[in-house]
Amino acid sequence: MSKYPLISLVVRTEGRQKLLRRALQSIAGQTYRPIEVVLVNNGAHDLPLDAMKGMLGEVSLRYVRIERNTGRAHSGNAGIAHARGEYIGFLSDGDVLYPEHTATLQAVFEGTDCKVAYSDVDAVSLSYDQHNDIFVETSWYQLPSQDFSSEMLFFEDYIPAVSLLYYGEILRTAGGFDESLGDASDWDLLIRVAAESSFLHSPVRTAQTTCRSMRDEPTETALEEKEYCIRMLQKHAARRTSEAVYRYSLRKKLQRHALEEHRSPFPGKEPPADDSPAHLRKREYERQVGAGVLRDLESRLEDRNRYIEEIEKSTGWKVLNLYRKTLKSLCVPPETKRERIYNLLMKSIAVGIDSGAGVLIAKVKNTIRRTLARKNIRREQYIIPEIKAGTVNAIDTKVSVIIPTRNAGTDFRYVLEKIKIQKGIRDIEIIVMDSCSSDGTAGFAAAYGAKIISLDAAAFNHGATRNLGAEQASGDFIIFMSQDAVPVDDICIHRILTEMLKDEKIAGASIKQIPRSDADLFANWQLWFYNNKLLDYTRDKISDMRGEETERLLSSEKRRLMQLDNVFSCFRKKIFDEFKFLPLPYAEDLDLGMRLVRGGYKLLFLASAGVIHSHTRAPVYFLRRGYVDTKALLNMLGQAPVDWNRAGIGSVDQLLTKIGAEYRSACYFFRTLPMDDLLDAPSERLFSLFKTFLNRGESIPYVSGDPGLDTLFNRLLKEWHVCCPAFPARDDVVKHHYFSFLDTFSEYVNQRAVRITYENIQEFIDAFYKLFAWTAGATIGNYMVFSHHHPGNTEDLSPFEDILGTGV
Amino acid sequence: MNILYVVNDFFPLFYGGVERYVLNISKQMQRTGHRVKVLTYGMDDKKNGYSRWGDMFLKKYSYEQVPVLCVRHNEIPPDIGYRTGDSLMETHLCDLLQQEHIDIVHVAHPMKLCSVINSAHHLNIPLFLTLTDFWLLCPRGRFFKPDYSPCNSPMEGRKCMEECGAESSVIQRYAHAYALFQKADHIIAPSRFIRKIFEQNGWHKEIALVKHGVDYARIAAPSGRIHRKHNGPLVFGYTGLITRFKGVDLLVQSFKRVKSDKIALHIHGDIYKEWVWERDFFHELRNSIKDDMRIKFLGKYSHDQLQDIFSSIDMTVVPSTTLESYGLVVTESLLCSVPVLVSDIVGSAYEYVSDGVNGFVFSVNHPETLGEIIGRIAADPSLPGMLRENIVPPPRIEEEAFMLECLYGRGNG
Repeated sequence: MSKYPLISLVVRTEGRQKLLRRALQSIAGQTYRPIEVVLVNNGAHDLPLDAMKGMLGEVSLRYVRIERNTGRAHSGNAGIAHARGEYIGFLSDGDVLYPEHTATLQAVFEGTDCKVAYSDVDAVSLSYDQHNDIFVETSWYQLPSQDFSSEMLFFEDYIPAVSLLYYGEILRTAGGFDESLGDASDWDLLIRVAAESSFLHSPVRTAQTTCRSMRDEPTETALEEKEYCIRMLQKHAARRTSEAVYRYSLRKKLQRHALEEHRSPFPGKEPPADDSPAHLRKREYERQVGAGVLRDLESRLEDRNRYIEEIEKSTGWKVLNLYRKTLKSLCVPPETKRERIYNLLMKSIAVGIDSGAGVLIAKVKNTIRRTLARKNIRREQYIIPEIKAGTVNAIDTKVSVIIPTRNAGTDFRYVLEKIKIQKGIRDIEIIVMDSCSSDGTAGFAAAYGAKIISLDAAAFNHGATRNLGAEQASGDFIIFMSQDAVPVDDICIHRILTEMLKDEKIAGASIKQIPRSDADLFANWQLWFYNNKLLDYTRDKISDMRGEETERLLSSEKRRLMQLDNVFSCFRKKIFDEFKFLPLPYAEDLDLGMRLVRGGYKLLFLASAGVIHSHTRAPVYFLRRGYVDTKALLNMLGQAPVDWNRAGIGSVDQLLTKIGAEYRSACYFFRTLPMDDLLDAPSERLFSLFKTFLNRGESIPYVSGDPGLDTLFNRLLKEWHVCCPAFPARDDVVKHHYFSFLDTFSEYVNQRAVRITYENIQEFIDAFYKLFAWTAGATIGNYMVFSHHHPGNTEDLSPFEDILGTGV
Repeated sequence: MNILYVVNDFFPLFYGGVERYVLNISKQMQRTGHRVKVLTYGMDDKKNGYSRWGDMFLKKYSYEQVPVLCVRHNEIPPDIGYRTGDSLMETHLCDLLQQEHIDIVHVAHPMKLCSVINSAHHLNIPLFLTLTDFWLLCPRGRFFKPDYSPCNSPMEGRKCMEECGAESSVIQRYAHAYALFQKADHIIAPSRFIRKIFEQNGWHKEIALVKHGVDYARIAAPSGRIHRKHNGPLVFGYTGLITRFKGVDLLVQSFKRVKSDKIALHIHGDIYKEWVWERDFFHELRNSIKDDMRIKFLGKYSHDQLQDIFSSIDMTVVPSTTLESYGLVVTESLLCSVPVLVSDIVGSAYEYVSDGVNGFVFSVNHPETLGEIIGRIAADPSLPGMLRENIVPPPRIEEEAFMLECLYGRGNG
């Protein structure tokens, strides 16, 4: 007997190619050599042999095709007949061998006369994932490890076929598989071989088999198997004596007791998980797999190194080296023009060889074209704004800065300081409209010489409070600012007034908002969207339209032309006094802008002047904000709401059902985020995965998402007695709106070329939630406006106002 | 816009003022939606993540989500910190600028990478140059002679030969540097001080003033009424690189001459390990303070610790004995409401410190005045509190970024 005898592995398949691939790969990964595979295709379509051979590598393949399915036993016998190995093992196409399987079993035979060896096995259940076209393990467990007992074989088929390695001769002597016993032939063979030889047991897990649930089998197959089994048991009935039965039952009893002891060696306590045999066996398996992979890599590395050594010893290599060291360094010295030309020539030859002459000619043409183009480009002149500190020409006017405040915090001191250092204005007065601050805001402001007007907090209204401040103002121009808006540089007000004074028809002005350095990703996007998409703050502009022309504008165009912003806005006092803010709960600045334009005045929007202002808020804020925004703006801009009836939503509960389902989908996605797939990937990947997931329209288990949104959504659903369904629709109006905003967010993030990291993934998740919240609120607001305009709708929608209409 | 910021050294190996400036401005530009990359030169081992890039080497990494392109030669030329041109690098950078579709090149410091100016000029890419120090005028970068005394002008390189022993090639270097300066489309100075120095040396061009901003979110301004945050002696603090041209030895000597147990000196910082010539200086300094228990070396610090450091200091000292174009530490200290005692050759002193109002300024030509001021404060510990009341918060990084953005052309009509 040679030290490394040939082992034949008979693989019986009925055409499950995906599983077969697993099985063959596990054979190719065996650490033992030599091995051959006898692949018996019983009645299935012909298999792609080249691919199989490629998979097996140096392991030889003998292919046996049986045209029509003749049963498992016949496959086995065909395999035995074609096997050349001294030892024979069997696999089904659903089985997998761990790398050390054949080496372990073959080693067991050394120094013994036994003809059969077997090891321990794990069992898996598989289900087919049609979407991804793969088999997925749904459960994994270990089959019990049993020492050999020939007697027990009369009662239990406890040795899986995949775990066995037979000495070939004993199989032939025993006559192979009994083809009259169907699937029970494996068990039958074990009993017959056990009569000739004892089995060696190696208590190491070296293979995996696929278990099928009896419930998955069609009834006829189960009946057939039962019949074969009974037939087989009857065949060996004579050997199953009463004593054998007694010993079997005793053995089972002892096994049960051992199992109980193992479960709780200490009364009332669980065994430490790390020391359990199951855990140790699993670790052993992992170690074996890792060792197998490492050996494979080492062997490949050795081969590679040998190959390189051979090349280096060859004459051709020596000549090439000599050429590089001597002739080339003399004729083409490094870091010279000659070397650059040489390298260019070599590169061109390589391109020509790799990609063809056509590609090379195209590259040359492009290079020439680019070189010529460079010569033809005219240099653009950029206009530098006047940033000359201390050299502005003073404007002989007084400006009143009006700031409504409530607990402005310590940053307010910085805001006041920035107003105080503004240059080029004869006089600046500060008027603070304080609504019962308790943090010393009024005191700070007084220290800067501000006029303090104290108000009752309950009486605060954006429009009315500002009007009150304007009445106290004595300046020719008034500026309204938020308490946390920081003007950029010390000539911000001067710059605004300089432009306004060029045209007496300019009644009001707003400037660009810049995100704070601590703004989160969503807040940064908000301002980017506001500046670049919504209002086009990419350049300075003056809106100058006749009032009647504005009626023909789209709502987006109206905003672009007339959206003043009270974060920082400036007015001529005389004109302001004629118009004033209306005491609206929201958008009083846009309303004033529209009235000024309709009244024949112009508005100035300066992108070259800025104010630092942004907020990072919780997602639940945006749900309310979307609602309030949409309701106010639809009415103000005269924009028609969505026709919800036509969109297939005829009631609030239908609307909330859709919103709830989309939210649930989003929560599940973020809870099961495939971070390994996303790490260091461009952000487009996250967007793509997210949209694909939301479009699946599949059943989603409930998971929680953002706590604030969970609470508010649940409250809304409860108010209308809506039970959220498990799955969202593939395409609906809610998703459509959400995706349209998501696309702009994606555009912003892609522009910045952000990659996903552990540090920023939470910001992304928060942004997705905030966008969703805003969309949901906007959707509800839109529905509210639609319902209001359709008297036929008798639903009581007032709870929306109670829940969403406050807090912004 | 695709913006490329160019700086000679960058995080994580180097973490000085220019590096912080580039990092802050890069991040703020990203927030407003621009695509930003930083180009720097690598002084570390080629095996440290570099891959072959034509005839040079390139490493790509990310620092605080700012993508960085780190280039280096196969063998770093010994005069890399001196040269003003490199044809090999120029061709490589031309390719890089085209591949990355760069719209704006903004050079924060041209050392080691000044070829990018030629490359951008060649490709007609708008080029911005911030004068963060005096390297274009002076190969040492800070206008100081071998004995660390200040120099007031290179005189087109002639003084470099006479007083610093430079080779005659320094004349040509000066001419090259001037040509590079002229090639920039827009020049920016962070302080009037540095603008004045260039103008005095005949480098005339429209130079816009854009002061460096501080990241307020990173160094949060203290909340509530400003008051002393600790008990014990009045603490003078130094934060920064421990090196001769920063005047740390002058500070230590001046402090030691003031015999008062009501004051202490905390020195935060370290030397760059690559600057082997500074090691002896550092050891001498450490030895000189052994006999004075009031002086402590507190070692290297990270930028995130600045707020804690400033809250333990009553007065920040910036005793630079060589020209500083700006001095970010001045603005960072003022942001934390800690008054500053600064030499009169630090650029930001001119912008933010009024002597006796919100800080003190001493003349580097009369170094004994540093000790006198320390003595005065030791005698009247209420002085820092009075100065603190008059501190004006410095500009923010958002402001600087906005003004740069306007300059880049987005803000104008």
